Amino acid sequence: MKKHRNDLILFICLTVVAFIALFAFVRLRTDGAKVLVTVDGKDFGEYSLSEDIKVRIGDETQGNTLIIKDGKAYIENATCPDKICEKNKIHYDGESLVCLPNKTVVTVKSADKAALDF
Amino acid sequence: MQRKITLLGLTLAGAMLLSYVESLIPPLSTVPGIKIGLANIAVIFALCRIGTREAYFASLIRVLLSSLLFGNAVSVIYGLCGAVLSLISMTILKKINIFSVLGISIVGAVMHNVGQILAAIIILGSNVIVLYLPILILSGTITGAIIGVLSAVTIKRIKA
Repeated sequence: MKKHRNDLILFICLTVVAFIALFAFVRLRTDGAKVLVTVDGKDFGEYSLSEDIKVRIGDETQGNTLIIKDGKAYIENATCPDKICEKNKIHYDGESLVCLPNKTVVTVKSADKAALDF
Repeated sequence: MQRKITLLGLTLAGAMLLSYVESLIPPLSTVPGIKIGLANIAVIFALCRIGTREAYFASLIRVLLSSLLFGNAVSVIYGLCGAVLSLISMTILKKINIFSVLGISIVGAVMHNVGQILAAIIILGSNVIVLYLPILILSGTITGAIIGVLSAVTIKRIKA
């Protein structure tokens, strides 16, 4: 019984911590100004969110298409099986789209680089 | 000794099967790395009923095989990182003995996600991925609880 009590405490603590962190992130988020695309850890390109654009990262057999439209960035025509990267549109500072199989990360950054702690 | 090897073989087979079943489920969410983790039932079973070494074996071989079969080449590294961190934490918790199977499973699940995030940060060279942590901790806690319950039932019911 004592172990079950500990389990419950653990569960509640983790859930509370996660919610607090989530809440903090949502409250503190600001709008981004541009997206930075990295492939395999190396910079691929930087694109402003205020200019609509379509960029193919990779080729037709393996890659993702980055689309910036109406101030938001998203991915289409991803060659990965899950297509998790296609599900979201991002525009807040720090948000990212990740395609693990293609090792591609699209991150929103603010205009002022000093604002980021990372 | 032979009994352990047999049990280990069966456990690994069970883990592979559970992995396969899980690969049939479409992605649960937009965040990479969120899974129910059914195969961990077999790992926890091995940890609690067979032995620590067998649990490591079952988990690592399972991750290797299933990511080659059902995932892609890159997912091997992520899976192994998550599995190693998860195994270490579960082994320690089992020794300290303050949590039941449920708590061990929860921590194992969360650490598995944390391990994958750390691997992603290193491989992709992008620090912002750490923003996924709260969601992954949350999903790890919930899925860990579910798997924990299933594991507890499995441990109780299987007479080996």
